[in-house]
Amino acid sequence: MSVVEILMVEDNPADARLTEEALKEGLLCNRLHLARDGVEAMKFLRREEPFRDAPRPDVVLLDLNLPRKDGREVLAEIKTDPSLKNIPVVVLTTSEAEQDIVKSYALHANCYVTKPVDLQRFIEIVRQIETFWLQIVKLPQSDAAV
Amino acid sequence: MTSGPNSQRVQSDSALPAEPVTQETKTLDRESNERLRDFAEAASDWFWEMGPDLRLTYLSERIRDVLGLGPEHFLGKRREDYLDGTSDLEAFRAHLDDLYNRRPFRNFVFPIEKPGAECPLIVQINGKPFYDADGSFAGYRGTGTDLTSLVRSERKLERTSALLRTTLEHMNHGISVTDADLNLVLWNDDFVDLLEFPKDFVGPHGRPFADFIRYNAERGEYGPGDIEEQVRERVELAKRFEPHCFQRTRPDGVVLEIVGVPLPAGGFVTTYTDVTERAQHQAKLKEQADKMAELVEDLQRSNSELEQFAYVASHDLQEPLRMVASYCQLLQRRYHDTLDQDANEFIGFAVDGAERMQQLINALLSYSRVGRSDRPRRCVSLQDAAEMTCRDLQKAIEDAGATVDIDGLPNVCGDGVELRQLLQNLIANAIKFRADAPPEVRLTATRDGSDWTIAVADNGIGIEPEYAERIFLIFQRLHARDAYPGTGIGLSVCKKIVERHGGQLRVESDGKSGSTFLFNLPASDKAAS
Repeated sequence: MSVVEILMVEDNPADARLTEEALKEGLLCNRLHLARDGVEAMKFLRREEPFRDAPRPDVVLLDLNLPRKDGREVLAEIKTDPSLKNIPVVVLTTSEAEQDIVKSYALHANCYVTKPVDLQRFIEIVRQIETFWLQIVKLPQSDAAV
Repeated sequence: MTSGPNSQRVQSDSALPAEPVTQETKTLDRESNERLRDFAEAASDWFWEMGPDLRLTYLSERIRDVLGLGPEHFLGKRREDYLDGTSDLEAFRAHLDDLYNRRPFRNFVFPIEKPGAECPLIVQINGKPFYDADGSFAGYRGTGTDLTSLVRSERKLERTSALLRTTLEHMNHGISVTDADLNLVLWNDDFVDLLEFPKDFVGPHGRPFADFIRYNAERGEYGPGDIEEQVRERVELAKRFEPHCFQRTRPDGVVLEIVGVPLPAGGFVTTYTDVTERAQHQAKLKEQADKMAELVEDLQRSNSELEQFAYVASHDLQEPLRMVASYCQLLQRRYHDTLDQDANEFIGFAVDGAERMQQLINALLSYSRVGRSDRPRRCVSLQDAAEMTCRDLQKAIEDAGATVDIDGLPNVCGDGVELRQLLQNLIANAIKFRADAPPEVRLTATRDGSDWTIAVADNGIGIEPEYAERIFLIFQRLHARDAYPGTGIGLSVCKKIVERHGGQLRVESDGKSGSTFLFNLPASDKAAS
């Protein structure tokens, strides 16, 4: 099985590390890439400097509240870019607010997950994401580079 | 009446002292007498004659029509025999004085009783003395007129005009009436005073409207400009005879309300009212209303800022909290075996505290979220909502061995999501705060005007009346957390939901045998969607 490339867009290093730790307990062999804000995320996705050699991610874990360019804008750009729109995006956030949910779905987020306080549950959720998006759903390959 | 030198004496039915006459003059006299008698009988006045002793010697028949008494009633009597003069003694004396001094008199007016009439008649007589051929005083001849109806009309007119005058002067409004030619014909002192015209400006018989305009123009009331032009403009405008109403502020600040109503025959009746107090009052009211609107706006802004703050604060608190809780758990997960029992216990407390704080934050978030949605109000079936809620609470209901009886709840107008949350909180509370017996919850509705009152009654532990208000405050709890777990937000959320729907939530309980939570919601007669 090939390595699963995951792009996490998250400005909080503690949060990023927690997700990384949760992924370590996951089932798949994965490689986590971190973008600290929306601008960096878009550069990574479009393989602009300094991400010239970045892989195309198999899934994007996106936080909504980000510096510079926030998660909603990133989501909108991904979903309107023909070369990126097939990458599944999982919106990971602490906000349960309906507004966020509604907006994210309006922008075609593939999945919306509220990060729970409880670590065990978080680990389970990350596992479910892996299983669902990376194993069950067969996505069209639109980018030959992968 | 004309009378020639030969027709000074009138022959009538009543015998007048006859003089010896020749045959020639007899014929002439008879013709003349007949003419005079015809005149006398046709006239509406009557004629009288008295002798040198001032006793009546003749009275024309007309008197019978007027007084109801014939001439025979008066003949041979003097004035003082049938008049007592008490109505105006002075005038009566002057009249008698005239008679005894053989002076002609005019317009002696006196009242005289008419048999069967309610009021005496008012009559007026004129008379002149006449003399014999030899120049000796022979008596009086004269006429009489019934003035009763004339006098009565005059008195009525006087009373009416006095009443009009009194009314005009006591109406606390200025008033002016102009005729069709725009001459002032009727007014009162207030008109002169309120418009600040000089006292004698109007004159006793009124004045053309244009003069008042000119006076105003000259004192600069209409601003700068050609005075004659200003007068002409205003007179032209007034001649349209259209109703008008406007306010004028005098230089001293007095505000006048001027209302002109055209009269059917042309002209205006115009009232002038000092509305200074009213205008000041209105200005003050407007000022207060503006201030109030400003306060309301401030309050709304501060409320929405507060809600925004609560939302943002609770949302932003989640992130660091999650870090604390998760890393504690990660420590526990990875190093459980290498840590001693105390360390593991401490981590347990930290995780527990973090979890509780998250519950509180979530509670706060859900509280601040009530009313933040832009879902439209719709017709909601409370029956369906309650049944759905029971399915959601199925596990809690089964665990407690509870029965929930939902009895024909109505459709109401509101936010379905919030109303479901309301019912869920109330039903969950009813089960949670149970007594020893299995919980029994009963939901009923009664119609109250345009509202429905919904009751959620239970057989639980009840609430002491002294706490009936406190339980609706945010984070207020009546029981230790280990006895009845919870954040103390549920009823605050319920209260906020009900109040946002225009209703009120209250509790009835004697503190022993259960509680009944009651709230009212606007009815919706439409079918639930």
